[in-house]
Amino acid sequence: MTDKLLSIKNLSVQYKTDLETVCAVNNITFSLKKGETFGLVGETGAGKTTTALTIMRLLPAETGRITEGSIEFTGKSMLDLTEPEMRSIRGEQIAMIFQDPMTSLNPVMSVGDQIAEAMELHNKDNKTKEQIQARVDEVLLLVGIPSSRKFEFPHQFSGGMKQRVVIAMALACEPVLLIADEPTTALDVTIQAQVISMIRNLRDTLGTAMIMITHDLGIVAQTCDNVAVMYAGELVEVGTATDIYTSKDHHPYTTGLFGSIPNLRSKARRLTPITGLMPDPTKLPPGCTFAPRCPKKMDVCEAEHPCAWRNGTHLISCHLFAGQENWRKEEA
Amino acid sequence: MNVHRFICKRLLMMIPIVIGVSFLIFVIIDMIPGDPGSNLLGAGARQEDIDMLNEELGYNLPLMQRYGKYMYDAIFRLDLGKSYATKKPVLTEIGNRLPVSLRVAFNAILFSLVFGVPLGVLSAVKQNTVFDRVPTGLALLLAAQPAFLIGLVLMLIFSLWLGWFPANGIASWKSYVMPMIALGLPYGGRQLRFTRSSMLETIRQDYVRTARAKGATERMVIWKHAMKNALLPVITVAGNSFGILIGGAIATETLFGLPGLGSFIVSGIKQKDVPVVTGGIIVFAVVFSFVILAVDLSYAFVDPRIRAKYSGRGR
Amino acid sequence: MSQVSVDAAVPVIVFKKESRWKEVWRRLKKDRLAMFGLAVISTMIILALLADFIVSYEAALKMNLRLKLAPPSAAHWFGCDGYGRDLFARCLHGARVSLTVGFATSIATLIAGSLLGAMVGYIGGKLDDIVMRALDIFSAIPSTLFAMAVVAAMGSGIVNICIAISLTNIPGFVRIVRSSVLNIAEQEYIEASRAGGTSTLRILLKHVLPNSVGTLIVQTTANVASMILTAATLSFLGLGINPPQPEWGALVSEGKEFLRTAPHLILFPGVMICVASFSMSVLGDGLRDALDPRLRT
Repeated sequence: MTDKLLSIKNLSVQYKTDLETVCAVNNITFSLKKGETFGLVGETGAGKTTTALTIMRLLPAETGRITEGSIEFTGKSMLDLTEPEMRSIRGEQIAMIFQDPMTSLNPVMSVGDQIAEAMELHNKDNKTKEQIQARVDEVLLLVGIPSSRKFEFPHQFSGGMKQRVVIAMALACEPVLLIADEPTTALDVTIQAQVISMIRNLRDTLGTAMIMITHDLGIVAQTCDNVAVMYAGELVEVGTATDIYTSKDHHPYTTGLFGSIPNLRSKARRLTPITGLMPDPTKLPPGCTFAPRCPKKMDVCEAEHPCAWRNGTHLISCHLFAGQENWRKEEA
Repeated sequence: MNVHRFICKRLLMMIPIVIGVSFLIFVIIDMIPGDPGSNLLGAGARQEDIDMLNEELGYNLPLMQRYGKYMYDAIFRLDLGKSYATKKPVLTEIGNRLPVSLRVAFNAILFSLVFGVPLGVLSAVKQNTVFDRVPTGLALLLAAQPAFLIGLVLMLIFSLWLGWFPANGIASWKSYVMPMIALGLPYGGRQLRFTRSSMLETIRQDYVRTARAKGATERMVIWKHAMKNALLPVITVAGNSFGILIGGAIATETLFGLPGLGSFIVSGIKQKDVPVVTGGIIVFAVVFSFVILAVDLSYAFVDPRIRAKYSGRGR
Repeated sequence: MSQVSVDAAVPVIVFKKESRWKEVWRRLKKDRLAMFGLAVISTMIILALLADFIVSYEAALKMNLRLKLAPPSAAHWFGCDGYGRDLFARCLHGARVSLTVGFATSIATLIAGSLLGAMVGYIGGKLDDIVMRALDIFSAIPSTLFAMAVVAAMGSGIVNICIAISLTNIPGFVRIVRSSVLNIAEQEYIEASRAGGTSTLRILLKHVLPNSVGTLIVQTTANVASMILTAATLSFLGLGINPPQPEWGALVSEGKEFLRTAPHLILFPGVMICVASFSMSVLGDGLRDALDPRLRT
């Protein structure tokens, strides 16, 4: 018996075209419990969105392939489900909000209709039209939009409000899991703060589990219980928020990420980015994918792919921790 | 209501265009040699009679005044002059012939939409399969044809060999079938291709992905979300391509011997019948402007973003 | 294709950029339909240029009433028309006329329209307003109708229909170039360029032109197809070429009298029109896709 809401094991996803094969996600494993907020951090192109789309099984049909691994949701395997079964899960049990609110809403449908649609698609207890409309009003209020605006069209809302509508739409059916793919990246900083605060409140009130995908370490700190750092399709470090933010031990990539955040108080003249570029996903290097850029690179790093090392709740995929005190090899 | 204001505004904007168009046509056709007097009275008439008629019709006035007189007569006295060939008022003849042309054009547009739009949607949804390649290839081929050629082939097969439809005149509804197909096929090919590309672009949009994430079926995604958005530009393109349709329509009318405005103008040009040509082209151009206006307006009704812009409610 | 090499110790990024046109040509080559169109239209152009060497012009005019309406045979590949004239010769010389009108008008429109558009866009102000109003008026008249009016006033003949058809298509090019100029003129690097002393002409050539070249090429090829059709339509109506000069549309018009007895008279020139127009269309589409693959659907 498991109390895990979502459990992903050894998942690998590729995009295959006639010209090339892109290894977007490589052998990742993580899980979350009910009500937990899990942060997925990484640069653009690390594979975060692909992971989210894979969970929803919304990969492009012609090119996306799940090459190995399993996804279990409330104990049942998701990869075995038929498309109609997946459709009943999407929007109702697992909801997703996307990065760009400007383009995520249908321009020719009113906002109220779009939220109502989410409920009409999953109307198991046969709510009447009035009941659905009442719920639309309720959910709009929840995100801070007056219900009189439900007849308006997306272009009549600002970016921040559009994102709220998207969130309202996602929460309309009270899903147990919300996947938020960079929900605030496209918004101004001040609006970001509002939206994040709202998401946190909703999560606390409704008890929704959440996967928060972002490249912003600040947002992760404010919202997440557990965090995974993703690089080139792999999870290089996983742990609780405490582990990630306070522990001395880190994957060199994580150190680099934290180091590249400009510090208001320091007198440094230059920013310290991580040198180099992420590897080409069609031609991943043998051994550790981060080795070409790693300041602590050893000979073994280029030859052998590192396995995961565990210290309590903290997992790091790096040869540096082989044989270190407190660190045990994690069995796959 | 703000929509009325929008319509009035657009109608007002049309006036300078109509004036400009009529002036341009008037000036061009004016260059045709020949005076109304000798044309209307015939070669044998006396010079004094010819001169008197010319004076009466204002032939000796400078260009601008002649134009002014022509427009005044046209708008306020509904007089577009008399045909040199038939000596009858041009306006009456145009009045008889315009409905025929409009009928032909309207049928063709309807046909092209019925033919082109559904196939366009199909080929977009089933991209790169046989359901895509065949309609697209067909559309490419058809869009490149002149209407009169298709008309001739149709005439050959259905009139001369099979005898199903008459090749000439407007005896019955049957006379309208072949012109409709001849005009509608190339136009329809164009519609197909444009619907296809519009649909393909719409399917790629983020809000379609959102609909899928909500658990919508593929059919709902196509019908409810994609199509409504994809068909908007199709309307404008249909309107804009109308100008191309007119060219084909004139040839089709002439080919099938339909007594429409197009064939009227053609025979007018051949006979150097200035009032017919001037009146005919101006009327045609004005009708064309109204069609474009109607298309623009319909776009405003269908797309809430445009509607908001004009009713001043949006941001 | 750019090649990037990353050295782990000291990242040195080396780009090798192929010429843009080589890239476009490579992409175009992949589109088989477009290449087919290119091949066909090139063949037609060559045959038209060499027309005099293949069949003399007199042969196209020579009447021989004994051969009236003869069907295709070894001696007369396309048969003969109502006056016993060899249809193949007429189609070949007709190709010359039709293709010349198509290409000449297209290029003339391109040049005239672009110059006007560049001038208007750059100078702006009152000139811009006047010209744009004038263009609105031109656009309000369907192009075939306008061409008919010009032909009515100026008489028929190859030169006149070239002028007539060109005039109707100039507004399109003016708009393209003008919008490109307006787009670029707002950019700050133009200010910087001008501050550095660059002349207007240089700015137009170096910045505006490359920007709009793609759209201009696509529009020009599309225009050739539509101009061939418009010329054919005008000739079909008897408003284009002066007989007995052959032109495809005129040939179809002549042939339609004998539709029942000698359908080959409309079929051969008709097929020529279709093939020429179709080839230019697919070539134009191929060019559009090759110039900007993002637009590919």
